[in-house]
Amino acid sequence: MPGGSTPTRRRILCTHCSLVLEVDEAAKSVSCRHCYKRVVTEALIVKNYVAVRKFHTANRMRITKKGIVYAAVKADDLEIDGVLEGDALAMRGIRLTKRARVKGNLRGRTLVVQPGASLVGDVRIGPDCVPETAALEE
Amino acid sequence: MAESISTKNDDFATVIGPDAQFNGELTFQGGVRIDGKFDGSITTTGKVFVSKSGHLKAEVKAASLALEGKLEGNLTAQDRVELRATGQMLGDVKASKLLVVEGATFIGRCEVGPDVKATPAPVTTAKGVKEPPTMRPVCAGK
Ligand SMILES: [Zn+2]
Repeated sequence: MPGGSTPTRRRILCTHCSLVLEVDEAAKSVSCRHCYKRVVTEALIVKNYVAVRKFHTANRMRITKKGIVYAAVKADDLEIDGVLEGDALAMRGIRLTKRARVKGNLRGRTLVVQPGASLVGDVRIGPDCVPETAALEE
Repeated sequence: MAESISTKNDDFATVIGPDAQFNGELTFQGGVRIDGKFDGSITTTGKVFVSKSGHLKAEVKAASLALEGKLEGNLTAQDRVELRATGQMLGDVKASKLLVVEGATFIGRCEVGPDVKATPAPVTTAKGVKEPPTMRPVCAGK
């Protein structure tokens, strides 16, 4: 390769089968070598209305103040500044800013709810609540 | 982020010490700090602080709560709830503000937001009549 630089790679979990994949840092999506499904690996910034069954990325997701999401959401880190109706799983943390309106069940390692945000649902938050991430540390 | 709940010793008129074990119902107006074991229910218009050694199996109604120990039971807070790094909350939370610090555990149902109507904790007046503080303010020492 010219310049001799090798692309940075990172380990992720497939958003479908939760098995470990190694992907190029710059990749936007890959095909899982375990379950052969497409895995979104780019950071997502949601600025509009999204209504789907599953809305997943193996990267950060930010639902901006104009974002309205009706979906089951999965991300590495999840920040919600808009509206989410659906269950959410974050491999690391979930952050609700003061404008966030969330109805759904949340699971993640950490949760921050800024004053003004609203959240209704069952939550499972804690270092042991996302056992899937143990595979990444092996 | 708004200021965190102060947990200085001077803030708490009632302290349940680390060696103490208390079963029953606590109803009062000031803050309480729990370093020991508590089983029952707590109703206060003040704040509740459960330190690292504190373990509650209780229904708690308070203005705010800071948790460093363990709480098993449902919690209603009119203002803020802070689950700190060593805190373990197993139960439902109803509050207007919530902070879960990295390391803390929270498993239960959550209703948080400015529109969440947490019923104010009833306080006992001098005549021994229980009524919500919004109906008639009760002055300490009255
Ligand atoms: Zn897969």
